[in-house]
Amino acid sequence: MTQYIFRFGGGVSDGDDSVRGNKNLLGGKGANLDGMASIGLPVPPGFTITTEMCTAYYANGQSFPDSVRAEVAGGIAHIESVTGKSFGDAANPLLVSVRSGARVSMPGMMDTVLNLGLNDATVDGLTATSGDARFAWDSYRRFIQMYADVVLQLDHGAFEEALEIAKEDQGYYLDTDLTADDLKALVSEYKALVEAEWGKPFPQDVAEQLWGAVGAVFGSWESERAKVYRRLNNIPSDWGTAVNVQAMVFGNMGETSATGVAFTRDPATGENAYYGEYLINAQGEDVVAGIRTPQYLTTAARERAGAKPLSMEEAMPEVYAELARVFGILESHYRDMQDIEFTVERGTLWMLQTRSGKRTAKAALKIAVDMTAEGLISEEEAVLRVDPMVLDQLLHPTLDPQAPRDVLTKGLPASPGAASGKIVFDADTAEQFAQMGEAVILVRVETSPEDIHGMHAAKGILTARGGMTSHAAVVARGMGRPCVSGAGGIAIDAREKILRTGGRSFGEGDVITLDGSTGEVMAGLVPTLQPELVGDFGTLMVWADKARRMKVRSNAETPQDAKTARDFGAEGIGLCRTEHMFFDAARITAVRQMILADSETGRRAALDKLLPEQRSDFSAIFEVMAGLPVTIRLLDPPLHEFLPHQESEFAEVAEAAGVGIELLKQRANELHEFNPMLGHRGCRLGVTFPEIYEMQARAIFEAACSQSEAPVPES
Amino acid sequence: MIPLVGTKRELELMKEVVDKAAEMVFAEQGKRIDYLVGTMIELPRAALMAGKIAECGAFFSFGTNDLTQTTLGVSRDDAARFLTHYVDKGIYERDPFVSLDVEGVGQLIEIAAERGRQTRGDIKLGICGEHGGDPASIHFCESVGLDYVSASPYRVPIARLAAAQAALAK
Repeated sequence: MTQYIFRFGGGVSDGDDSVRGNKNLLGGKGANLDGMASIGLPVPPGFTITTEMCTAYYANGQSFPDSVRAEVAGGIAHIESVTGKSFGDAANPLLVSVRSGARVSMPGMMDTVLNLGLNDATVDGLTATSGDARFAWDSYRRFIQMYADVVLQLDHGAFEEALEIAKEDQGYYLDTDLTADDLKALVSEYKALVEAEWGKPFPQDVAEQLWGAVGAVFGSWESERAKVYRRLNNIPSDWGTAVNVQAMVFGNMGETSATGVAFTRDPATGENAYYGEYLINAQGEDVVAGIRTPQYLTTAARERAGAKPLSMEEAMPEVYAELARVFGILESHYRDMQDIEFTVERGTLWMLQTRSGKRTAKAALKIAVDMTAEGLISEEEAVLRVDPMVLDQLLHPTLDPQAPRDVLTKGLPASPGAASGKIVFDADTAEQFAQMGEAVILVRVETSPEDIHGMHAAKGILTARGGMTSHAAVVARGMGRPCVSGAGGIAIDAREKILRTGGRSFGEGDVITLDGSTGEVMAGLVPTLQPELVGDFGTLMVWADKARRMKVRSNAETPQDAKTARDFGAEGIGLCRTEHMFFDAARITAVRQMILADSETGRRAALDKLLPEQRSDFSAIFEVMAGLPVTIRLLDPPLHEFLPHQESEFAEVAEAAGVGIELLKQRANELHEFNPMLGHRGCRLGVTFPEIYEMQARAIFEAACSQSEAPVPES
Repeated sequence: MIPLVGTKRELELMKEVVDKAAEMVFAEQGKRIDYLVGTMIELPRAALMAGKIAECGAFFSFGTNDLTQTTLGVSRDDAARFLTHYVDKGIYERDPFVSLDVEGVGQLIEIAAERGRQTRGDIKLGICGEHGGDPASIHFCESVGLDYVSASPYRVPIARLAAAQAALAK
């Protein structure tokens, strides 16, 4: 028979090595509660119902097999024997929490029920054992409200309303002003509300309460919000969630009680300093709900923020010292920065959760490098700890997070980084402005290969149409230009040179800022911060280079790109495209003459003009990449890409190329293709017009022979 | 590097053009430099015929943007209209232009690498599509033993770290 329940705490830890620490079975929260209890940390006793039970629950038409009922009874007996309290006992009642715990954290998606086990009889027992009637009735009030919301799925607005009215009637402002008698009256009202809405009285049988809550947690796995979250985060629906049932500990038992959340290191900077918040005399939900402003954990953080309310370090020095000791144990056990929830009940510390903490890119690097220096992890583990994609955040200029932003609209985050500049609506103007030293943002409905020179001249690119793999997006990423694509909220009139969005309009020369990492488009100039490639970043990359086998090269087609690539550690060029060199304004006329020529002699005459230009292109790239391999791809796109597409351009182009406009149109017509991607391109050009590749090859070898340090071939 | 090769004969013809130009320049300049002529592999036919093509080409560079287009029969510039639906419905796990379709396109790369090596033991193999900067695709490149990945300049550090992780994961 499958075992669905595993106990933890009080010196008990069920399961063998295949179970312990198994997040797939116990969920992240359950595995770590058992883990903390097993290394002697103070964890309230409890048990985990496995994710397999969740799967079986759904396979079974949302019902529980009888064997589980016996197992749960055994789990409750375990908690009772450790705490010395009894579930449903009127004299010394045990209260439990029921929480979800999937394999991976799904913040806010799943349900929780606290204070379970209270009823009309046990509330008196809680009053007696705590010596605090107000606390007992407030717990009962909270429990009914939460249970009605999560399990019975009644409208929680009605309960909030009743609470507000109770406060108003007494002229109170805070929940904490309510007395035991006020709360007792409120409980009666809550129970009446449940009966009116649900059609049955609030369940007094604690076992019924428990099964209701467990079913609700499993049910929340298939809630709409959980499904959406799973889809967005690629979490399979058959994973299921575990359920953790645990003895309640109370952070709201007076001034020596508290509850809080903490990180063992700063999740924003990675600094090796405790980071967190706590609230005296509160339950966990109060910290999250933001009703009261939490206080700082450490004195240093409080002083830095200039805050008055005492830090935990000052207000509860002994418990704080114990917490700091636990932080140390957790980090050396899990060998990673931890995100923790804790409660202090009458001066005793209890750990409610630990997990690897989410962190910024900067913090991820610092923590990995620091932990290696501290001997917690090896260099290789440090390399494995950092998600390569987060480096993207560090390699581009980013917007100063302190600076105000006037956001106009949002498009797709097509190429990361931030850029500010004057709006221009065409590639030629972009180039002209850039040559005068102006920072420009190229704004187009969409871009095409003819815009390359303008995209290169621009600091950033904004398009109204196109997705994450549109021409603009792909080219911008290749060039390292920030790009926002598919900004449907803007209308572009390129002829009138006006950009309209949300009732505002911007003309050529007006300054805007793009954030290619979020897709935001902002009015005016927002200050940026430059990337730092030294320090922790540099250290980690040295370790990565030691570990890797494959070489890393770059796609680069200009000396600037090649330089950037080399600075970033590229070991050569894996793809140097040559077509952009043909689009260059100074050469396009010769390219067009070559295309329009009707004989090989004519083509060769035009190609002779291109030869020195190509040679200097390659020389410049070879110079930057001295000693490294450079792979040059001969001309690839179909020739019609180099001809004008718009009627208005034909006359100008015909004159520049020295041919009649009719001939130009005729030739453009001849070259038209129904499916250019599968048309006359690539080596098919070389087969029909070998002189083109011959010129390119000559340019490459002449450039290579002229270098003092010759390029090396593939090695 | 010769683009869009599908047959050995195409590469042969183009290599002749390049070699002839090289010899002329070397004669004029009175010096020689080392160079290699190789090909892009971006058509399914080229991948399947890699054994033959390697008789003439000293290296293969997998142009995975076009190889994905030609293998899937999907035009990248026209894919936006339906590709998100395809990902939502689980037809493709991820956008195949962002993360390599290992099952299909990857199989062609594996075949080409294997057949290329059979003909020419020291053939150099690399990837130069957008996928060269995608960590999941880089893991695949390590698993089939490619010699290098080529990524856009700003993705080079990402590729260095991903290549290290791929090597450590082996």
